[in-house]
Amino acid sequence: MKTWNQRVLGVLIFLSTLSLPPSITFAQGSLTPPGAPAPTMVTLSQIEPRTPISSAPFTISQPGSYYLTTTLNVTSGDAIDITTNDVTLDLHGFTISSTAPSATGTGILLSGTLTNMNIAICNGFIRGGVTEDGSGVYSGSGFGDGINYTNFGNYPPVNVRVSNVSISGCLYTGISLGFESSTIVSSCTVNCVGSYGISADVVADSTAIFCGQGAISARTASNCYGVTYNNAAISVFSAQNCWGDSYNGDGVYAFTANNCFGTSGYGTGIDANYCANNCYGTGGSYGLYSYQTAVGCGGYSGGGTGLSANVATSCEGQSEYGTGLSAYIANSCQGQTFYGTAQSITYKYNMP
Amino acid sequence: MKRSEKTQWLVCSCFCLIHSASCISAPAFEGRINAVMTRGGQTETLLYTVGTNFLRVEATATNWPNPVDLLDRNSGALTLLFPHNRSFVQLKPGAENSSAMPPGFPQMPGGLPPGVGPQSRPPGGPAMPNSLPPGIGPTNLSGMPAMPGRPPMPMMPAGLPPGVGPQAQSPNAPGAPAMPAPPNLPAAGRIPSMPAMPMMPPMMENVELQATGEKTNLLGFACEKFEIRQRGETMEIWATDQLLPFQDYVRSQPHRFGPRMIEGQWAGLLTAKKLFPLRASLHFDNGSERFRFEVTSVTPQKLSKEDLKLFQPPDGYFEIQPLPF
Repeated sequence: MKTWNQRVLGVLIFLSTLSLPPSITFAQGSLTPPGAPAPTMVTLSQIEPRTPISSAPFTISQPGSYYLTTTLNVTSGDAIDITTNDVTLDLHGFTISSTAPSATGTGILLSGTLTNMNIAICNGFIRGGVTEDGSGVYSGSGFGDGINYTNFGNYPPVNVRVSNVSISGCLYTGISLGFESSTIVSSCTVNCVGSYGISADVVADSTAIFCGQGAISARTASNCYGVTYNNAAISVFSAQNCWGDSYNGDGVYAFTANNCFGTSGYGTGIDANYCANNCYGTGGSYGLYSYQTAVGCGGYSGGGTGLSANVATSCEGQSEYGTGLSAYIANSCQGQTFYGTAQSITYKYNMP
Repeated sequence: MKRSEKTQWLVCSCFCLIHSASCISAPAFEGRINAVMTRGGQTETLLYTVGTNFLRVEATATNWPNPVDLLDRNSGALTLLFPHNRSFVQLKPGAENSSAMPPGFPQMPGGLPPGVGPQSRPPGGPAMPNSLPPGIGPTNLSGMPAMPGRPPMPMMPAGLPPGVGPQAQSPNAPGAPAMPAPPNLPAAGRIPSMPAMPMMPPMMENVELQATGEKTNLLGFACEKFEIRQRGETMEIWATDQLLPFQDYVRSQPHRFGPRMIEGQWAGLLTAKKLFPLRASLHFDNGSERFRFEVTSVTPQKLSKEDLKLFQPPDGYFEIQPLPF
């Protein structure tokens, strides 16, 4: 009769055989090689299915994804011409430049025959040689426009996005995408262009400074900064968290302005066609002007009106020689002046 | 003299008589007008070159490449020349006065009741504090004493080239926009209607050019006095119908929503009545003036062929498209 220990030992030996590796427990396979190994590498097009661009001028006439492999330079005309739809162009961190003696051509031109649809441009720089001479005159070599499109006004671009692109030194336009068909410019910078800085349906997280005729023009702009000499610096339907500075025009000109700051030499700092909320403006004509309502706003003007609104609530306007605060209805507001009129208000509430 | 020659002579004589008569009854001014415009402490001299079919308006100051306006008096098309980058923009007729919205955008809320608007002067405001809060106010207005105890305005970002920035005055978008139409809400029916506002006080007044009946003679032209009033401001205008319909000096493309301030609307009101101002002054009801326009000379002059080139963009200027709105 087996003892208890012998039974346990037998079970353990049996279990140990179950945990042995197959190589020990089973026989090896055939040692005859199965034949030549099949290729396991992937093709270059599988690794990088995009089309490289290594020289300019270059025309993109087929839909697809394209990328720069090097810095490009042209001596005249356009650098990259996109003539078809459904294109992604990655500048890959490289720069497109022009040394055209007379600033002409466009860095990236959207020139679809009928329209320019479904196009994305990102990650790079477009640079011309245009400078401002200190007296307001823009001149130099390079591009006329940074990113622009043809058929302006007839067939504006559709579903076009430009992101993370910096443009400088163009004689006319930085980024121009039109307004009517879903265009976005985000995280872009424009510096020193003779006409318009950025124009698109939506402009976000972008700056356009040192522009000749307007920095940012859009349906809506958020977290933007614009500086221009003429026209409004930021001219939009809806402005959120924007700063606009113009010498001759308005700092921020918007249908509605929220949390904005605007300065103007001779125009209006914040010019809200309907309402301004939590905004501050300074300007030679008006510091802040809202055709309808201003809430929580401030305005300053040297010779004009500090703050003017149809209905002003919790606002303050200051003027040295003009009217500090002008409103039809004012609630909890204050107007100040040194040599002019502190306030011009028809109906006042909660204020002296 | 043969019969045919007599006929020709008679036809020519009649044509000349008719033409002369028409010229006498409606003499079209041709020549040059100099004017001075003062705003925001800055004075600017303007030159109007008036042709039969075209008008050129420009600032005579040479310290800055100011835009030049070319107006086709027949079509109303306005071309803005921008010397600063040798470009020009052609605006469609009436665009400089347009306040049109892009398609689908709701219009401004409704028009104002007749006769509304602030008419009364406010009582004296609180005493001015010793100094304005820190961080506000421009410091570079010429002719104005420096404000004590205030830090300067927020400065331009570092890195910009020195000496930049125009020195001229602010743009004066011309034209008087029509009062905004009632709102055209999209997808009517989805948005619940707003309840009527009870006892809503009258809103802003409609800006109108009102004749005062006063008359005078300025620079040899019979003038009538007009007034425009808005929110504690009054613009007094002496204007004549013996020159040409007024064209304001346009520096920039027009505002997309249309001008709202008096100085942005007065020109359009005069243009509609085919008046040209000889003197205009915009002042607060307390008397201080903040805008002035005054003609200093009117020189009737037949323009030469060389002068006609002034009404076209110079060679080498590049046309850029106007902003869509």
